[in-house]
Amino acid sequence: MASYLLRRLALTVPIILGIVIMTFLIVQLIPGDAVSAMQGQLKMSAQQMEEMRQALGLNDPLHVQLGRYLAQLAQGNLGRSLFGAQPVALLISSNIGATIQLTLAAMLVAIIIGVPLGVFAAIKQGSAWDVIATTTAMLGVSIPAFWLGLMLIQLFAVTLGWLPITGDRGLRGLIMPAVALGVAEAAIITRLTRSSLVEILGLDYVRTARAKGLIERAVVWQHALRNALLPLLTMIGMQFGTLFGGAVIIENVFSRQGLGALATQAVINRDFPVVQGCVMVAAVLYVLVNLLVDVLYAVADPRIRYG
Amino acid sequence: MTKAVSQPISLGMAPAARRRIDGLLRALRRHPSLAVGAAILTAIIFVTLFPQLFTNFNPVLMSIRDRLQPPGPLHPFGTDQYGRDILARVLYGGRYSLVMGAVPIMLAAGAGIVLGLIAGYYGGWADALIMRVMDVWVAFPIILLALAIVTVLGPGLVNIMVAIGIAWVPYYTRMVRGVVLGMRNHSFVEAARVIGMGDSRILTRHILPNTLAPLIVMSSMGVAGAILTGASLSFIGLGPQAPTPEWGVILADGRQFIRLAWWIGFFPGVAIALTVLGANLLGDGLRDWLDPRMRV
Repeated sequence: MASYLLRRLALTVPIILGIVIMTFLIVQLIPGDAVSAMQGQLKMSAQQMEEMRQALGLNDPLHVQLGRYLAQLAQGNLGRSLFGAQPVALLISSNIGATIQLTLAAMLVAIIIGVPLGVFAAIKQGSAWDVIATTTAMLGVSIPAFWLGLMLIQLFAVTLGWLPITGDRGLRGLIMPAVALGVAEAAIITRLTRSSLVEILGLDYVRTARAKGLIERAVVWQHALRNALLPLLTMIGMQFGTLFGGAVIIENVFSRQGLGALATQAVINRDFPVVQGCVMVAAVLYVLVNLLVDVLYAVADPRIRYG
Repeated sequence: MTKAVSQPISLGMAPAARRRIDGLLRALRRHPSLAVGAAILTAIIFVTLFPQLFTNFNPVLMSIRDRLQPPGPLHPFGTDQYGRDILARVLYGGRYSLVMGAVPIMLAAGAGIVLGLIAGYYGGWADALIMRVMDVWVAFPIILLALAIVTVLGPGLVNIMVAIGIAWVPYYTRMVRGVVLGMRNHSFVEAARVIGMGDSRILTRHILPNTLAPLIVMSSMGVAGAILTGASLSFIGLGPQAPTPEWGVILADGRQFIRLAWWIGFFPGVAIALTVLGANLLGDGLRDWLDPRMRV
């Protein structure tokens, strides 16, 4: 197990380094440079622009800039916002908690809806119920999350007045954003659970369980589902990035504090250090979540550890 | 000549073409999601290509007297805060969403085919380099990577299409590479090599056609994803700018007036959902038809 962990960890380091280099390079793609791109908002003279380039070190060769960027990062310094001059690391750390909370809540919603629906469809495979469940799932992946969010606000906040309109009021404020974000994911989990369970229900050990006289509920929930849910773990890891990206949009719908509001404002202002920081942190988080998933997988499935 | 007479002349088709059409009809019957998806998408493409057949209103013409009218006989989808007809805006706006779904996927597929073919066919350091870059690339959530690229390029329809396209490249590269790896050592590729065929000819004549089925399936679902991402980005103000009747832009208007006028945001959302549903169903059906091994 320890050697597996080490191997897996060793694979993660170069990827994180790659992420850092890539976020650095994205900004180099700007036609002209960051200073001329900001010209529109700041209205600088040619001399001021030159001074700013000098101050930001943009006149140095690329590898020198990259070296400086890496050295800063190593100290936890993500640079400063071009507007307001706050440290990017501070801006991100004060906002990321809310986004992670929303992402996890949405994942929970997705599992609570998706797993039972998938099991139901698998048990009733080929019946009208199966068709209804899979069609619902197909509809679920097709609905834009931000639109669903608006419709939930319309129904539960404006018309019925049951829930707060903005998503910043504790647990009650989390319900609608989490549902809006989680529904598409629930649909994906439904499909995955269904196909995985259908396959497993045809295996010999399930037949054995049935043959020894277990009631169907025990066969499905205790014997088959446990193995059917393993691929779900991988799916959760893979979908973390999608949900996290979706959270950025959903936060805008519900005027919720978080990385979404921060990133969106930064994109509109062309505040490169902030966007760079948000994107990099999201990617690193994704890699770490997948590392965690792989470790959990190894715990759950001995074949991986010793394979 | 006599042979030609024995053909059903009324159809005026070569037997090969007729067989192909028969095959398509059979597939449509056998895979209902293929038929339903194709029908939905065809209808939406028709309606957005010829919106003037369905509405007499101009999608950008303001008429303050008619502002915030609920759906009724004159305005079936109601009007917005400037008195513009929502039905007209949704119908005319469809073309933006369709383009926003198709163009990024074409860009991504094009780049992915080239990179995937090189990585899979040549192997070695080219493969290692390309695939390690792709490993890093997929770590970025699509929406956030697109956000970063839009920051660099600036907002606008063309720029978000480029951004979404770039974000999708690694998925195509990985898929094409996978297929090529499976093909590379097949005896028919060996045979082509033995008779002296060059690499580029082997790649385009023998290997590329084999990637077509999974490419089509992936692209159909990719279009669905790109439409959703594009609409999300223009909803937060990074895509086409007002008064362009793009669906995400109309939805952003709807958000502002949610207490007063639910219909502004409701109808463009239904349009997006229907289009995405059509593309997803089509992709599902195509997968079952063309490539049953990929079935989830």
